[in-house]
Amino acid sequence: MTDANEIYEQFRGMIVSGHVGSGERLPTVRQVANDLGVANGTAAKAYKMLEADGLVVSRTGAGTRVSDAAAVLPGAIVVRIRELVSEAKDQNIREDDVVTALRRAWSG
Amino acid sequence: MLDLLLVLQTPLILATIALIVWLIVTRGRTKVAVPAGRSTFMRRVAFGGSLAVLLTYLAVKCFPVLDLAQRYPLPDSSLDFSPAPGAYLWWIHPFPVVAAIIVMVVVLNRLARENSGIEAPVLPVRYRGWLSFSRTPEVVAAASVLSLLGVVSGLAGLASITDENGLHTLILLPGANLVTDPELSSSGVASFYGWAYSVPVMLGAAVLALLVGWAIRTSSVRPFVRPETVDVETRERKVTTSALLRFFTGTVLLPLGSALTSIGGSGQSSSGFGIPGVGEFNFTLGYSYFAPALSVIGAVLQAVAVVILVAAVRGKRVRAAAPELVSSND
Repeated sequence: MTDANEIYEQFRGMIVSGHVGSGERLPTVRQVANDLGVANGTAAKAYKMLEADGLVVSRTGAGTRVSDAAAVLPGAIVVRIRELVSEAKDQNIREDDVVTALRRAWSG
Repeated sequence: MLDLLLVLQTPLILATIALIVWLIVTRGRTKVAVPAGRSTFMRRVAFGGSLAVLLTYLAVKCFPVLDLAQRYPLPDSSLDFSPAPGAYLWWIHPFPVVAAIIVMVVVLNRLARENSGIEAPVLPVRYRGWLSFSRTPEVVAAASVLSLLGVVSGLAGLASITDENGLHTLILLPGANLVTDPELSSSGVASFYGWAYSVPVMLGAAVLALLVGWAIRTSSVRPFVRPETVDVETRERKVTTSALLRFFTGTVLLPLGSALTSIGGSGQSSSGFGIPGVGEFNFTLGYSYFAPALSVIGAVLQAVAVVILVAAVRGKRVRAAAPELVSSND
């Protein structure tokens, strides 16, 4: 993954699929570049494309965050789900069991 | 021989020795499962560093034993380990912190030389900072201990006065006026955890906090090896961050505990004078009524610190739960 377009597509996919929630902070440009082994400029270009599409909002000091309109779920819920999955994996609990428990909790 | 027994009967020293013996006997039996991988080095640090801090702490605490140890079997020896009464021993509180700083310098040197080890790039989903893999209670505990050390050291420093060498190692007892009664210079003061002691402790703790924070951040922000190892590496980083935070908390608790014990001891001093035909007048420090409690709290904090560090040492032997990471960079 060395192209800004590829990075853009990956982030776009994660946002519209609910992998990240609204208001969630995305990694810094430097972190993306470092993790992917690309130049900072490449990562910055991908972020600019995301911003131009209204998928993320960048504010000085607050970093780049997923915009409310683009995300499927609020960031707080996505974070809790992620924590739940992490906890379940740590305890070697099966995915099906967690999903079943969630459905039961949902139905009251 | 009575002195030797008194020193050895110090409950804290006995408890520490007992804990270390227990640790050596039972080491390797822990059933805690953490993944082996790139952070194995960091866990070795948590083990080795904690042991280094414990041994340094014991060496400081057992310092008087050195004098007794050489005085009884070797009465003619010219060696003298015993400090002069009231001598300024700057190292008595911050030495465990200094040992921890040396350990952390080794850690950072290793981290600086480590390559990224990326096998297949992983697109980061979330922002990763130095708090990303930490547990809130552990961060709060570490920050609280550091803040408390700062407050105690600052307040004690403000209450201290200078000795004849210009060092803030004394506290003026009520009823004594060194200006009008210079002869009270020895009886109207008590040795105290003043600036001369608290500044090295605060500087050491601040440097250690920076180094630990830096190491945690470095561990957090480095790239993942490959997509399949993200879960394992995430668990690994949580364990590493936890180990470093506990190491920090345990280390800083030691000077905090010894400072409170010292302050409590000073608070039990008193000065007085007698007027013929009238009676005796004794003056104590304003906090004398809770000074014994401070001494006890200080001893308890040191005991808690020892337990935290011993627990870190015991956690060294871990079984590999992620064989896929064993071959990667460490």
